[in-house]
Amino acid sequence: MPSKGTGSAVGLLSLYLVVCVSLQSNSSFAFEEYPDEPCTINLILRHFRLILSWELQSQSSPPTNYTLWYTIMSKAEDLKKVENCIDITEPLCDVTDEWLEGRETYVPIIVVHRGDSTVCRCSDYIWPTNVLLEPPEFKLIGFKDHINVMMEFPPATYKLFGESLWKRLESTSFVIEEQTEDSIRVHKPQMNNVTGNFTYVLRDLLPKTNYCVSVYFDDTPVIKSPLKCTVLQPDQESGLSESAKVGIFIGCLIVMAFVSTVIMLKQIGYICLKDKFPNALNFHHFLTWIFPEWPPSEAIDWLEVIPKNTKKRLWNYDYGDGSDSDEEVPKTSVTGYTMHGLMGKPLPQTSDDSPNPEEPPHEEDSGAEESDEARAGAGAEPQLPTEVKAGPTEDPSGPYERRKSVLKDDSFPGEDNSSMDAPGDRVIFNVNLNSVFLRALHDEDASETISLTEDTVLLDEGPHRTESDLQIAGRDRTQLPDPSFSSQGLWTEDESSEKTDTSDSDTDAGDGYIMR
Amino acid sequence: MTLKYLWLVALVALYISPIQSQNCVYLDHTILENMKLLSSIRTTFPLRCLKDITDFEFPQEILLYVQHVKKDIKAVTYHISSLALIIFSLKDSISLATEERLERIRSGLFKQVQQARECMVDEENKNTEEDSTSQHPHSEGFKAVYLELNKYFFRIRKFLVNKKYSFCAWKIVVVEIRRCFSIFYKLLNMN
Repeated sequence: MPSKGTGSAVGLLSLYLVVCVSLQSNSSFAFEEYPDEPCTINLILRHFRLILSWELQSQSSPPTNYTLWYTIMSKAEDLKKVENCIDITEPLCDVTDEWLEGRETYVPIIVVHRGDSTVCRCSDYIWPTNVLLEPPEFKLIGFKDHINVMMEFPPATYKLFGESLWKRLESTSFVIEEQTEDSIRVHKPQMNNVTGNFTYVLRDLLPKTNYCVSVYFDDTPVIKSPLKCTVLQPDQESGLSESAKVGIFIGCLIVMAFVSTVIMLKQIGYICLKDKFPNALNFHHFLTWIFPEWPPSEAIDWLEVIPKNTKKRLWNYDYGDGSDSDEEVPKTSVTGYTMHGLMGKPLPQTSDDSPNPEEPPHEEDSGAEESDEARAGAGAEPQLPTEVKAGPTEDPSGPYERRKSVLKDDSFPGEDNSSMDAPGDRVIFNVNLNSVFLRALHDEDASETISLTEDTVLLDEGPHRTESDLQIAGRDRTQLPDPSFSSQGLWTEDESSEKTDTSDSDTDAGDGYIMR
Repeated sequence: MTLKYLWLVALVALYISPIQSQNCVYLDHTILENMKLLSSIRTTFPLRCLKDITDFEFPQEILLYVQHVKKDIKAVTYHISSLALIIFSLKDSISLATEERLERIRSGLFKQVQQARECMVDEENKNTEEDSTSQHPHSEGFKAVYLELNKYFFRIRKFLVNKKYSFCAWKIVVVEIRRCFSIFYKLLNMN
């Protein structure tokens, strides 16, 4: 048996439902208190969108905004408000996505507001079959004897009242009307579910004639598009226009020039360079292109040229076999004094003290002997040290290699290469006179005996070379103690040496070398 | 002379069949004209009529049947046209529109009924020639559709009676009949 409280709760719930239902039903007819305003409502297919437009017959005062409601006649439903048409200012509304039933009859209700108050409403029947069909946009392209009429229709996914466009308009034909001054021709193309861009060609036209074209759907009432006209020019060739041809020609020229430039740059190596180049061709550092560095400084061998002007009284001593002694053998001079030549020794290089594995050991030995002799000589007599800057070499071992190459060069005929094997006999120097610097410290008298040594100086220690007559051979860069002496004339060689060693005679080997 | 007239009779007989088939074409056109005529009654729809809107429950099974049994669509069209003409022949339909416009509607519906009947007869004759063994031109499905259509138009008439042939009731009935015509016009053009 239900209790009293339960019965009161059911009663309250029933009352609540009744109130809700009454409010809901009243909302549908909330506009009944406002007067009906005569209006004209049309449903238009504009740009393939369903546009509901209306026009109030009374123009007393312009309304400020509108709100669109609608219902369906065959369904007892409440009024629906179109979401995108609430308080709109334009008298039209897009209902393409709202009205999807093509068999129903719609009753739109437009509520008119002026300011904050609702002043009137208008309503009408709308049948989907009575939609006014506006023609699509089109453009004309005139040629010599024909015109292309280009239109754009909606894509295949387009739906009108839930159906495809052409299924909906299957009883309506599409018309293209061609007009001249004295004739009208009507074309009815077979549309066949056309979607997207559509081009219809009006053929067999007269040149130099003005043609006007209009398109429309053959429906009632007919809404024709505005006329678009074009005059067919006799020089309008079918296909590409003149400007298009010029553009294509210029484009081809530009492409050809670009391609040829690329090929040329590639051939000269300006572009498409390989990544791995020799270090000498490494141009990755941009600044070095602008501010090129000086070539790497070449190693300089310092030679100490020790002039020995030892005057000794010739006592006609018989020293026996002079060749056994490592000491310099004084040459007999006219004055009865012997004049010792300059002793040269290579100064130790600070940059490269490590012995070169390719360096022949006998050269080191000879150099050591020379140094010993030079030190011996220097200790015996005051020296006039002369520093000679030997020729440029990148590698400290360069002078030796260079000498080897020169010695082995066949371009010097008659040269005795065996001297390398027997350093005690004689040593051949090839000196780049352009790169030898000679500094005479003092003693102008010694300048007569100063001779240029090459980058690697091997002093002639043979008994025939006791007059190690250093010569000043550098023509340009050699600091000559006495400019009156020529490089050739400074050589003071005895005849015996000339006879025994053909290489003693100065031979200009070209490119600044003098080969002895 | 006799041969000359026989030749003319043969020539006319040759074109009898195409002439008869033109009835169906005329029927389509007449239905379309009547739809426009019913649409011409459109006036501003009063909001007070919204509360009278009723769902007359158009029998959707008719559409399924006609789409599968296309030979019966002419008979169905004829039956609908006849029932619609009965609706607009009621004595109290004067409140809907002016007498002149109402007379045009009746005349149009009568023409539609005639053409629908001729089109139906042509269709039945054609079906009889193709299938001489057919003793029952209409199946049980057609009878069911026939019955549903009678119920549908009965609901419309009952609505008018209940609303005492009011202005709003006639407004709603006109819209409903036009909707019915629109559906069958589409079905006819599908075949």
